[in-house]
Amino acid sequence: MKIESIFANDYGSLLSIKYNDQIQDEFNRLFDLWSDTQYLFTFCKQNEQTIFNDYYRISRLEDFVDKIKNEAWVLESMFLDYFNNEAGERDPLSIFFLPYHPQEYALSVLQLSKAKVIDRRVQKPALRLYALRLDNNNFIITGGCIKTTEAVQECQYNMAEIAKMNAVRNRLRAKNIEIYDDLIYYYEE
Amino acid sequence: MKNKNSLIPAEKSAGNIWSEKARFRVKNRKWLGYSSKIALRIMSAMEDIPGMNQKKLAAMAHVSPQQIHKVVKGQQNLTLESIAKFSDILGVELILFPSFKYNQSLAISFFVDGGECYLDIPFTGYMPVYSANLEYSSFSQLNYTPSQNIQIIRL
Repeated sequence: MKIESIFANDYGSLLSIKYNDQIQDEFNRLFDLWSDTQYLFTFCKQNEQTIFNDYYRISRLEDFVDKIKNEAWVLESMFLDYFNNEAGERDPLSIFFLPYHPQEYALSVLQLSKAKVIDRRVQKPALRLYALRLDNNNFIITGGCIKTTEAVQECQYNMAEIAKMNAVRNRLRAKNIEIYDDLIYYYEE
Repeated sequence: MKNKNSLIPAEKSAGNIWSEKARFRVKNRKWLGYSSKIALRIMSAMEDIPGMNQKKLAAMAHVSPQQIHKVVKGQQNLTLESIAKFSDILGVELILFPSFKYNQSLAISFFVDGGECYLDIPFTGYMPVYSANLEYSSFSQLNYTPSQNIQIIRL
C-alpha cells in the first residue's frame, strides 16, 4: 500500500492510497472510472435492479449515466477550484469532508470521513469519496463508489468501501501513524 | 512550519496526473458529453447484432481495436466521417439533428362543415395567409388560395 500526494501545502493536504493490486491511486482511479462511459454502461446493466428505484427516480440507463458524469464533473471541479486557488488562505479541506458517522461532532484521529457533491443543482448525489482524516485539514482517500440505494447498509459498494476505510485505518494505527507528520515514518508496504 | 512536500518526497506525480486530466475533463465537458452519448448508442447497437464485438467493429471500420476501446469509453473526439461510418456499420443513426425553423411545419386550423381540422404546411420562412375557402376531397388534395382570417398554429 502506497500513499500518493494529490496536493499538499501549508493549509492542508489531500493524499490518496494506491493499493498494491491497482495501477493508480484511488483518487485518480475513481475519477477516471466515473468518466468512463463503458464502465458506467456495464455498471448500470449489472445493477439495474437497484438503481432504477423510487429513490433516484430514474428509469433510463442513459439518464443514470448522465447523472453520474455530471456529478463527477461537479465533484472534480470542486477539488480543482481548491487546487487552483493559489491566492491567500483557503477554506479548510474539511468543507468537503464530513464525518462518516453523522453523530460524530468532534474531530478524532483517523476519523472515517466522506465527501459528496454539495450543490443545490444536484439532487440526491450518488458519488461518494471515502477518506481518513489526519489532523484538522489533511485527508487520505481510501476509496469511493457509486451509491445505488437510499440506505448505505443496503449498498454492497458502500459497505465494501467502508471495510476498506477501516482496514487502512487499522494498518496506519499499527504503524503509529495518526497525524500528518507521522507519515515521514511511513514506508511503502 | 515544515514544508509538507518534503515529508512525502517525489509524490507530486499523482497530483499532477490528476490535475491535468481534471482540467481537460472540465474544459471539454460539452464534446465529451456528445462522445459519451454516441458511445452508449454504439454499445447498445452492438448488443443487437449477433456476433458483434469491439474487435469485429474495429475490423469493419478499418481502425485499431484500441481506437474502438477509446470510442466506447466516450473519450474520443470523433469526426463526422467516423460517426457516419459507425452508423452505416451498425445500421443505426448515432446522431440526430434537432428541429429548426426551416424544417418545422405549421398547422393551420380551419373549420370545415362545422368541425375544426388541421393541415400541415411546410414552413419555408415565408408565411402566407391561407384562405378559409377550401375545397377538398381528402386532406392530401386540398386546394387553397391566399386570403384572410385563417388561424395559423405552429406545431
